[in-house]
Amino acid sequence: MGNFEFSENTIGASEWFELSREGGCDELNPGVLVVAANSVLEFLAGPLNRFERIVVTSGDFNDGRFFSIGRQIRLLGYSGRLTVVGNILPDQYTALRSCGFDDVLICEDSAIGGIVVLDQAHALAGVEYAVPRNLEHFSEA
Amino acid sequence: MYNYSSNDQQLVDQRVFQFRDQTRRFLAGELSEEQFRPLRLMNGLYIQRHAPMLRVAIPYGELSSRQLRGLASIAETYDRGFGHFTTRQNIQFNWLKLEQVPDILEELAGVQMHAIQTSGSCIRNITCDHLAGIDAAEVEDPRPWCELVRQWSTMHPEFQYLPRKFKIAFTGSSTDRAATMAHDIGLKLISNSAGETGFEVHVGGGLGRTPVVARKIKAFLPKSDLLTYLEAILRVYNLNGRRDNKYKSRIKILVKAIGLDAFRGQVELVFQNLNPNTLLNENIDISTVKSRFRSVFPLPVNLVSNKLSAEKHKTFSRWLENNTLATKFNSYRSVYISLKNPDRPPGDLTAGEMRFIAQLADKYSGSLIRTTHTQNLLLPLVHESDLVRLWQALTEANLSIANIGTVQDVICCPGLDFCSLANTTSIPIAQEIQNRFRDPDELHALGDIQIKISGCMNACGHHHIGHIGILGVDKRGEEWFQITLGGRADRSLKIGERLGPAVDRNSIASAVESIVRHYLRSRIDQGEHFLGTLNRIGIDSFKEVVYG
Ligand code: SF4
Repeated sequence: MGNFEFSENTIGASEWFELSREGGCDELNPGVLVVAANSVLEFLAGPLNRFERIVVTSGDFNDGRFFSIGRQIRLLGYSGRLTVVGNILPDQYTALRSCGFDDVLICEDSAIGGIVVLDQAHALAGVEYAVPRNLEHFSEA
Repeated sequence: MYNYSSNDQQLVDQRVFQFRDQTRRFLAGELSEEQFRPLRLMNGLYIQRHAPMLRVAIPYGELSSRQLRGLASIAETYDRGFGHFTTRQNIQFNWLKLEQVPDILEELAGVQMHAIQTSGSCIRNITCDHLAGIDAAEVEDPRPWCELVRQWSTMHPEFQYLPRKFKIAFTGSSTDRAATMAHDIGLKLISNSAGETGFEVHVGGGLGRTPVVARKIKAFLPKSDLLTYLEAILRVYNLNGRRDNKYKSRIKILVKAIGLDAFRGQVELVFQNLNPNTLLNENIDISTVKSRFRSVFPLPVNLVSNKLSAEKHKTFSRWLENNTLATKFNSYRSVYISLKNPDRPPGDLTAGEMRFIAQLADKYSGSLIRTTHTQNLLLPLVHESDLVRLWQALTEANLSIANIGTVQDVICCPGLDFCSLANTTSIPIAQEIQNRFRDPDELHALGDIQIKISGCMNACGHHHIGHIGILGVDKRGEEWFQITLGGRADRSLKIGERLGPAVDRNSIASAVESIVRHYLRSRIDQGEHFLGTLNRIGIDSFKEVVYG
């Protein structure tokens, strides 16, 4: 996806994997872990709960790997905020919530155009479509 | 027969509502064709050669008479008065209008049916042995397990956008009538040495361009682990299956690429993290599912005396022998209704016939009908004393042709008549071949010969696993046909061997006829099966009769 300005304390999944293997996580105080949808599962290691947010960057809406990545992150016990960013259809919000995601970052022209908080409404029937709300900029979330 | 719970009903109703909105957004230009495509495919809607085609799921092949009447009404109101039964126990309507599809889905929901996940890159309709629950040799009835997996996989949030389609089939019997070894996952109920029943799990089977026989990934899976183990397999596939080339994106390619052992290792790793409590849908459990199955008993018995003339008696006896089967219930037989009369495209049924069969099912088989992997119908349980009357009724409607399992019982894809991917026709080829063997005595003498025809490499007609397989190929805009011999669809699933160069449109029926007659001349006696003769005398001997 585009070049997002997340926050200063951002680390990529492979880098995190190396650090956690070398026991170097302790010195680090990252806020956000960024996981690409094509990451291998082994990258999801170490004390994930140190992150206040994990962002999964999806490819196309039709490439469903991000659903499995999100679900696996939750199964590994992660309890912070889980975010997906990319070209997502509103029709996918319900499923995203079921897979453990809290919000969707909408991107427009490689910039973050808004954030959709996946709330209870999306967990219901799968027929309510959320209107993207420009509530919070990511860095403030 | 499974009866929807209020949750099941709510889910299909909501899906109709959702699809109505998606169709509206597409027609209004709010969704692009690219965005609408996966959404319509998830609801079974293809854009075909002439019109949109809707594929409706018949989960594990079981239908009530009410549902069959519902299908008849759709065929009549929205299509051209008929439907086509497929090899995966679905039914297809070929002449629809996109804007009417939401209404059709609503009618389907009204009879506890849907088209959810009958196409697209998701878990497709769950299929099953059509003799489930009535075969005496069965370890356990697989239908409740099929239903469990149907509920689990329907709109599964994680697995709607897989690399490619994903097909699961079940059998509870040692005779594989559901081609489970040609599925992405094939599940067989077995009992282990301790007397417990569980599943033997096979993975990575499939036909298409690269036919592969499924491999055993788990020798014995406890029943309670079924859903978690499936979830583990699907997650590994969803994350690692190729998405860059649709011809290499099925799970069979992944298993081949990394090797069965490595694949199994990854599945086990994911499986360790799961337990039944981590399932996304906790509302499904097997005892609830089982409790929603309606027993067919008591069945009606219509005691009337039946006298047949000697000539009629002969035809009846042949039908009885060929088209009916003993079941595990004393005095009850299963009755096949062949949809392979040479006068009709294989697998087709008119709305009138659907209603007629629904009526017969009400009268004789507890209102139940099944569809088979071989594109025929089955009345699962009919009392022996009703067989003559049933046969008479079927005969009047031209539905008693006694050709189940014979050379006329051709499996055939829609081919060029409907399918936009086709190289060649397949329905007319099937009919020409059927017409070469019209004599009932000869049909009977030939015994079990399975002919399977696909109009292109995608192999929807399962040509690889026909005793005689026919594949349509395009040569400079002309229709040619490749023949394979020796495939089989049963438990010892085998891919057939290519006979030689493709033959042209005018020669294909004669080529098949020569093969069949060569078998008839060469076999030791009537007890030697086509595959036995082929093995004994070798494929070269058949080459000679075809290519001279
Ligand atoms: S085998 Fe080919 S021609 Fe036949 S239905 Fe499938 S895609 Fe169409």
